[in-house]
Amino acid sequence: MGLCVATMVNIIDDDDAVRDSTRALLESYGYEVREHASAEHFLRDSTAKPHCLLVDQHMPGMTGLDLLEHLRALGDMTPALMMTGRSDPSLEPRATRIGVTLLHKPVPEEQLVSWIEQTRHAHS
Amino acid sequence: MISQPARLTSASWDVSLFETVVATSINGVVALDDQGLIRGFNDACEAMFQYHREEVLGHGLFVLLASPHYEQYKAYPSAFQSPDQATTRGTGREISAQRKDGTVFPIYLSVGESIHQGKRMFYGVIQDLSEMQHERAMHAEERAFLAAIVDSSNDAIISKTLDGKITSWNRAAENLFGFSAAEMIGTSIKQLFPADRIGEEDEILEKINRGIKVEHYETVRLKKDGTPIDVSVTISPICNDGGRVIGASKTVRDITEQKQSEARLHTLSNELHHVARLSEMGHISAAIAHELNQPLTAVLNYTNVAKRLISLNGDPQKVIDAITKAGDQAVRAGKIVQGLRNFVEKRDSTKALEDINAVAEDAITLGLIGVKASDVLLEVRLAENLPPVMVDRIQIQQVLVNLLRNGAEAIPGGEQGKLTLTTVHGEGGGVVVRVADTGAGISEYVASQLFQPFVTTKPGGMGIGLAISRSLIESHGGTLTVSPNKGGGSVFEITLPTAAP
Repeated sequence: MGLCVATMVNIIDDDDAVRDSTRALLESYGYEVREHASAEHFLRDSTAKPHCLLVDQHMPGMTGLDLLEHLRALGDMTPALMMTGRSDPSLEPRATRIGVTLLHKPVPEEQLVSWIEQTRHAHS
Repeated sequence: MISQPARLTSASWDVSLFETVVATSINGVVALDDQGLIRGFNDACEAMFQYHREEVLGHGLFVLLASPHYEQYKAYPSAFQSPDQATTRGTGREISAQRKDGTVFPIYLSVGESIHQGKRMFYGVIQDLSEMQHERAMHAEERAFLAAIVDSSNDAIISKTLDGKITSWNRAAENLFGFSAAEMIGTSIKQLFPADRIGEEDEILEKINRGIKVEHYETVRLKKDGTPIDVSVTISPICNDGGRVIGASKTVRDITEQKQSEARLHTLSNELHHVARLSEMGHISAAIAHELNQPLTAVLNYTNVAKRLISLNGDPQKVIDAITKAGDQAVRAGKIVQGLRNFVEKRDSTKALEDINAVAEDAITLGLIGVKASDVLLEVRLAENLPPVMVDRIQIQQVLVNLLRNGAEAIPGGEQGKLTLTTVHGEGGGVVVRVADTGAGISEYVASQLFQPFVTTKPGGMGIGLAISRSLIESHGGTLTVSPNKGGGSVFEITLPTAAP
């Protein structure tokens, strides 16, 4: 690893408090964080080239899985972590099919950080 | 026409006219000499007694009488002469008479005394009471019949004077209150009133005095042993022939059992509403879980931030910020739980004056959780200056949540539908809330069945939501109806009356 580039994490969640608190936590680990309040907003922001995505499932408009399936269909394989507050058995197989990790909210700090670290190493 | 008193001097006394009048009088007229023997017997007497006057002239009056008066007058033929026989002379009396053929009939005999050609004599005016006695018998029979009805009634029937004195008290009243008729007649009706309801009697009497009937008045009265009983009372004025109110009749029905079954029904319906709420909860609990996990996620993140800042000797202000934000999110989570508890808890209906717009806004928050904006466009049109309504906030919210979720579910997947919530002034006062969707709509047949329990168009639906919703609205004195939406879909309309002043 030559250049020390900060890991960029994109958070896509419609809940202000969830976004803000996740950003604060991840920034304390030295990650660069960008926030998007909706999947549509994320798709419009074409400058974002994140290392990984933290995506909420239940958002008004496009859901988290809708977004990720769309990205995969476009060949975008950015590692993604789906976070859902609902236990919906139909989500699991959809997530597995496109190689997305599904975790239930609230996600513990260690689990979140270790997942980000893993994806960073896997891609470096 | 009012005329001056007749001048008696203008005509001379016509003896023959007078004789004719007496002879043909409708009442019997009989003349007796000072020995009590019959000396005159007019046409009416002949018809009444079926004697020719020749047959009775010179006989004592007793020949016209039946026992016991026959014997009485036979023994004392000169009874008329005795000055102390006030009942037979000058005034009249009712006695038994007898026709020639032996049939007995009642007469009214008035006796007077005068001097004729220097001799003392008596005259009697006789009225046949047969007809009147027949009528009396009929009345007596009628009264006995009515009395029997009153006596065999299951409802207590009581009559009283306008100052509350009891004048009659039937058998059912004896059974209901435990007081006998003898104990109650002549006493005040107020002894049946509990102390805190004593004022009711004056209110009732005031109405009765004005000729107003008091119907199905539900109240409490006391038994002889002091036990209170729930009763339904109907009180009607009793008028005399002149139409003046002279008393009141009162029917009292024991509704203790009815009240108890009403209470049981009320409990059952609360249970049912609770079950319905729980079932509704099943549908939205997944959405609520998500709602709750958002603040929990934030709380966890902020506390972790604070922990890290402290262990890394970070900016203390940032630590305080993170902890404050964590606290705010805990409060947010608490509010969601509170709302949930109100919604699920089994509770009696508690009504308060509410702004229907505020109730509707809360229902929208709860009802549209988890509904995607890409599927459903919500339009809210709230009228201003709506009168407050006396409602159970949670129940109305429950109905609106139900209607909103039904509406959202009626919109087919893959296309954006519109859900409109409108509040307007009701036609006859009150408020109207409409929830309109642009969904698949409801066939006329289903619409006619829709509010029946267990009728549903939703796969997996239990079909009690709308039945419960209607019963909740009706328990507020309102209505819940459905009609087709002009542009397709359905409109559910709730009307609620304004709070009673």
